[in-house]
Amino acid sequence: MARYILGRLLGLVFILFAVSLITFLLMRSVPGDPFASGERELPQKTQEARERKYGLDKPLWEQYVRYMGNALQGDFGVPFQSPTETVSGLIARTWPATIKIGIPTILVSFVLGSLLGFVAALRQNSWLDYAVTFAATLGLVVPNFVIAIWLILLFSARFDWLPPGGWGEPEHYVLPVIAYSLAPTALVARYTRASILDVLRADYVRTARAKGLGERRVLLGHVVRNAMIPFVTVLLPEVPNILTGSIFIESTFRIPGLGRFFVNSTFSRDYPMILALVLLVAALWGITYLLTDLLYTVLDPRIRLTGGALR
Amino acid sequence: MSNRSEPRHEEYDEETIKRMGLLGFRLKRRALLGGAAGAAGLVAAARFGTTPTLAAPRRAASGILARAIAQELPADAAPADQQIYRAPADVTNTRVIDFYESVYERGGAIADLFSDPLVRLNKNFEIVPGAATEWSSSEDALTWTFRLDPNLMWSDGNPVTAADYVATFRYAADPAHAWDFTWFFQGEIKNWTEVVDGEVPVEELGVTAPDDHTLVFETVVPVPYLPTKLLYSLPLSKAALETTGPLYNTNPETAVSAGPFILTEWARDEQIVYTKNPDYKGTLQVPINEVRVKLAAQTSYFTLYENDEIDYMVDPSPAELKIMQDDPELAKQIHPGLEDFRTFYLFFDTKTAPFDDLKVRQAFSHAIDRDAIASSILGPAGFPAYSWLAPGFPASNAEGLKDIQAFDPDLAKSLMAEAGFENGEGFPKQEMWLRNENPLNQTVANAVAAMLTEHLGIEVEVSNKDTDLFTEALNAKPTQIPFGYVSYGMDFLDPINMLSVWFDGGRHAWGNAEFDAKTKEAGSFTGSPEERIAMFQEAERILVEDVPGVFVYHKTQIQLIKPWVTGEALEPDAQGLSYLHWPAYSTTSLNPAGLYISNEAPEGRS
Repeated sequence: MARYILGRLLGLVFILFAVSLITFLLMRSVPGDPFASGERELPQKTQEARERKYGLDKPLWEQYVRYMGNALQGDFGVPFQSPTETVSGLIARTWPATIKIGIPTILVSFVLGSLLGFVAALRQNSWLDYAVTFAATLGLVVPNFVIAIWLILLFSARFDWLPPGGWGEPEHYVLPVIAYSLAPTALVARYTRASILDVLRADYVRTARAKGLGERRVLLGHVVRNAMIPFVTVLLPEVPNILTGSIFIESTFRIPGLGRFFVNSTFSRDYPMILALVLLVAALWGITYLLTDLLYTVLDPRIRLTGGALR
Repeated sequence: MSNRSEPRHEEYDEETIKRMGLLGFRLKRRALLGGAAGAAGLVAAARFGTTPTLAAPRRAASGILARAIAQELPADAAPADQQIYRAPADVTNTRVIDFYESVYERGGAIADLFSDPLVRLNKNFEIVPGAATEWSSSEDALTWTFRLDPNLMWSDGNPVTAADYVATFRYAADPAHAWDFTWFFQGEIKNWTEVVDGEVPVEELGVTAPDDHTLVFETVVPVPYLPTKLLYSLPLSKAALETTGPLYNTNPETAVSAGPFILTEWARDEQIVYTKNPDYKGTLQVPINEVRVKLAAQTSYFTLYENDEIDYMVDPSPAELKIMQDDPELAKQIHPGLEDFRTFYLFFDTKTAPFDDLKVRQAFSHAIDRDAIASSILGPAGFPAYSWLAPGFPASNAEGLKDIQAFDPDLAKSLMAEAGFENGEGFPKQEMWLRNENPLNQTVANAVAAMLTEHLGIEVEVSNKDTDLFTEALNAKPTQIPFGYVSYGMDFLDPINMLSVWFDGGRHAWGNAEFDAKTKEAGSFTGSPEERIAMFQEAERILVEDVPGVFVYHKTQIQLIKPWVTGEALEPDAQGLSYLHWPAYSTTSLNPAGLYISNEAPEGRS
């Protein structure tokens, strides 16, 4: 198993290199000058001096090799959009806020979502099922920034219970977490419902019931455990998604998080930042998939990750 | 990147349109009065050679007076601990708070509070002394001498001397620094261009300090408007520049200030706090004790404003403005003003077909119904433009030029036919490039496109590009934008600034030798101010007649100001307009001295 994990991690390193190269080439082929923000054209010599200052005057391959060389030593450069700090410093500064919103979001959506999905599946075609399905569809189709604005209108503007945005106090978490968790909650509820329904019809559940197991044991020991597999496949990748933040949630509620940098770095052609963020996301996803695969072996004893035939 | 949905066509009620019309009327009057007079004042400085300007000798006395009475708050003021002024800045556009690191991305104008520029602007757009007590120019108008206020001190205990200014200008021109504003003094300050280009060392820059309190500027050509340009002369501390480096005002621990405020907090992506500098010895004595800049996405300014978290904002969206207008109490908080005399216009690549044909450009200019745009889209946010220099700006001739590009769909049609595109047949489909415009301007652009289709029978697609992409394509030689919609606002208050945008080889693919020559001649003309204005007006006529741009509207900046923000700065100006004048809350303006929080303010503002 250790060998398997090591192999996967080495594979991940290779993937990161491939991702970095593709991203580098893509971002440098997009037109737009990172420093073209002014109203007037920079004098030619100043333009050249800027490129020298930021190392953009070198051939592309050299810029890439230099960046990766520094990155391997933990130096991801200076973000063009915030020249008074480093890329690593910026990520270290902003990511905690995103994670602090992300973790309660994951907890709320996974707990609430699976509970709702479970109940809906057990009461299939009842009014409860229809209500959950309707709410879940709504949660998926209404963008979170729209929900965010409704929440602000209701809880801040109308009732004045919660602040419309800001950061630092516990009450600043409530609205963003609600807005941010609606879509994943809906997703979790739908998948839970579908996979539980699937399993409920399976032969081994009928067998379990036939051999006289109590409903509680059937559900917990057979249904839930087996229903977890599709659940893990589809929903675990939501975790890195949520943990890297949302520009909509963060700008609407003024959370000083990492989310907005994914979009703004592209708009400001902030090459060092774009590369660092893509590498960060790629690494997170790589690790998530590895964990997903490892979880399979726990959930389904038939799955073996290394050697040997199925028993 | 905008994620709000806006009503595409906001209808304005009669009252609003009337108010807008009133503003337009005031501005037109202003064009005749204020503009010329303002420029005349500036030119006078140069004309009379070694004679100091009008305002200069007066200041010494008023400065001392200001220092003496400054600490007394007016009777209706909120207590000292509530003298907090809160304004927003765009979180994505606040790279730094240093003018010399990035002029265009320093989070709005609230950054320049750490030192006094040589001169400031008052709310009637007149130059008044700042750190300089007086100034004069030589007979040949090539040398300018500024006397510095000897009382000014840095918060680290060093006196402010001419050497600080020299070090600052050298840093600004240093090619290794590659500042984004180097174009500003090009071809004017002696050796500026050469230093920027790395051809001569910074020590040879034409900014020198014969003694501690005398600063001398040498220019290549006569620059009668140099004082107005030197609004941008905020000094850095030479000592801090040498010990900590140019970004010493990034961190409160290394911050040094000779201005009315000092940096005390910069919570990135959250807020910047400036606290009154107890050691400030200058003339801009401020009633406000703390300035809080709330960093937020522009789309959330209005929420902040409604929630009383900020006291001031600009440019509400049409929907937000409507909310304010619909409530009689809130409507009082709307202050339309002139900001930077911004003009929105269509531009062409006049070096390539089909826009190399004057008739085509003229046809475009006659196909735009500006009145309809103003009444059904802009409301109080702008008024029709038929020329480049907005009313109120020096040398503006809006009235005299308004017929050249007037709306005349029949004439437009016949001009298109003469150019060989009867009813638009055979005219290539056009993409109208926009520079990351807000919802209001996207609506204007779409209306313009619809008018071009309706009156000329051509196909136009509006395409809102991101800023970096647009700017690179605009500046490419040859340009990559055949047809677009963009705006320009002044950098300093002289016609040369706005007109030089159209120089051959500059922002747009248009060249007219006569226009360039006339504008340049007027620029360095040191004779009668009236004559100088007339020369600029001749140049602008060439510009409007040759139609490298179709002028669509002059922007009126909508400011929302809470009722408890009060003071002399918000009293009506000479034209009767009451708003926070450009350059807003900054040492380059007198505004900070004339603004305080009244006891109407709710308690516990933070």
